[in-house]
Amino acid sequence: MSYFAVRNLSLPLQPFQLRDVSLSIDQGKTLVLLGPSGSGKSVLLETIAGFHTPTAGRIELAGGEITNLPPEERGLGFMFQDYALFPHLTVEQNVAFGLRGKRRVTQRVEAALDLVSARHLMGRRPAMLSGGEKQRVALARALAIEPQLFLLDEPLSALDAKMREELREDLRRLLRALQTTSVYVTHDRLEALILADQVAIIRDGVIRQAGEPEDVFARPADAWVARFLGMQLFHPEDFEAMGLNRVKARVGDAVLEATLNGQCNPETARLAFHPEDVRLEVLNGHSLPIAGAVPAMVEATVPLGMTFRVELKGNAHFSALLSRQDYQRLGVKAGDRVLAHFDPQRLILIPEEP
Amino acid sequence: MARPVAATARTSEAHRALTRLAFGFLWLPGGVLLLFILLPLLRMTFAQSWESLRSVADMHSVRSAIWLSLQTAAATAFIAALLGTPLAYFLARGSGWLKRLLEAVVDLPLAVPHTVVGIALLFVFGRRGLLGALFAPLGLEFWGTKAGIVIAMLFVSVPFMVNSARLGFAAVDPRLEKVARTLGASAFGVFYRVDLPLAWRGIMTGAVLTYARSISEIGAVMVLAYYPMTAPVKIYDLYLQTGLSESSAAAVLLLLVTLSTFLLFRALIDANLGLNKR
Repeated sequence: MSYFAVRNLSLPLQPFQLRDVSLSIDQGKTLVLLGPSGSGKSVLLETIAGFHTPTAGRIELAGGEITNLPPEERGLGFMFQDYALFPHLTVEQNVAFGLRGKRRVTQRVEAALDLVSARHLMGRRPAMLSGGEKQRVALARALAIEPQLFLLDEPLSALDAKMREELREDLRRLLRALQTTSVYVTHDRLEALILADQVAIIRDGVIRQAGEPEDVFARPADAWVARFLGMQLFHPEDFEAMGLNRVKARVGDAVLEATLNGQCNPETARLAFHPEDVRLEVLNGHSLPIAGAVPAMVEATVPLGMTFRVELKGNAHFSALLSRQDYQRLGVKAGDRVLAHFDPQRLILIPEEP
Repeated sequence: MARPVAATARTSEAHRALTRLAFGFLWLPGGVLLLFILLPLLRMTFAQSWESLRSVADMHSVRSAIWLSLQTAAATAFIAALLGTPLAYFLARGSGWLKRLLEAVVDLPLAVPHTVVGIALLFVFGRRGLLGALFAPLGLEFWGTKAGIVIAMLFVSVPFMVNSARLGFAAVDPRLEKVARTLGASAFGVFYRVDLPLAWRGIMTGAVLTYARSISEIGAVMVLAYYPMTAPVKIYDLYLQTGLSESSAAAVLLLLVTLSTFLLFRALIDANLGLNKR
């Protein structure tokens, strides 16, 4: 039995309905709820915290049911996107807020602030803190009560890029070190990859796919999940099974080997791939297209800092993401004719709808 | 080539000057309004001689009327804050038709003429009124008493108290309440530890406005309790009996006392908050 589980939860709260949501996570692990804005992920988190009463389903934590407990009796830590520090209290009083009636409050406050290297802020008011400092204090306040489950609602999205990267690392180390069971809501797939032991993709209040992040990223369940994870799609004209989840799919003149995931029929089948997984070969004048690769014309190359996006036009528009090294080695430029090669393990045949 | 550029520069300069002028004219109506408030008060104040102020201030009846006004207004502000704060909280947090209805009820005293208020209050707090008759055997009478004055003041100042506190509560981020719940505070704990301190300024502002509104009330007070005379009633009385000179001197005296206490309370609120913010 899982340490924390949501079972068949439904909540018809307009405009964010939750429908038959089930999730589970083992003790000490981090579950990332990944979904676009408006997908109901924050509402789900607030329902777990006890701010909404579901119309069906149950929530279990540490061997007991908490579905109908008021928020203050659930023993959960909660962290909001904009931190929600109490503006009328000092940092010390903020962190001590949840420790009323406990023993050794000062030591516990200091210990919690030490965890996030913010002890020197104790006497300050939230108005005097930077965004990153507020985030750390909010983290300390939630962890000071030693929550049975830690809920984080997009805790990094209000920060600038550099600070976000830094605090994401801190958060990863902290959650691992403390072994705090966590549910983390975000729309950022990189955060999901870095922080998640398990990831659940949510859309319109429905969990579309859940599993280990590498699995979900490599084998999306349907085309919507694939697009959301930044994958590109081909519409194959037809495909035939080769056994053992391996298929041959025809895209224009090319016949590509791919991995089958789910029930596909020829009308709704899509080939999904990450642009990072496309391998390019520049065609010089006399080499000929081959059947196992997609011929294309380079339309543009776009520098993205450490990587380069190569925009291609074959039967369809698609793009490849090259490392700086590969980009320089290939010397690819607009107007070149190229062949795009795909690894059969990393080219996934999936249905448009589940 | 240079000529058209210079010409454009000239026109745009003229255009800027014109917009500045037009914008400056926006001050005109506001200035008229400010003068409209200040002119009568200043004119009346500076029309008084020091001797006339002294002689009015020496009148026992004037001094006790002003003192009574201050006492009853302060008591009203205290009672209004006590009764109005929880209501303001529920109005700030509620929604739907009931909230809108209750807000309209709270604003009702603004729309009812104050003599009408006084007469309506007589039906409830008069000697044979609903509550007046009920409380009379207990020794609590409203007609012609301090209690009656407070009742009349309270009725007309409720909107100021409740609306000011309601805005204070509405400004509290609901996420702070949610975080407080997850940190173990009950619904009442959240009200006491988060909402109340954060809305404190709104509540205190409401109390000070109630105090100011109560001191200035005459209509409802006069009907329910002509005696003992509060300062506005006394001034009206002097005006009827002796004319402008004595009544205006008493008026200036009341104005000075009221303004100074009003400013004092405001300063206390600000100082208190300044201390909190560190």
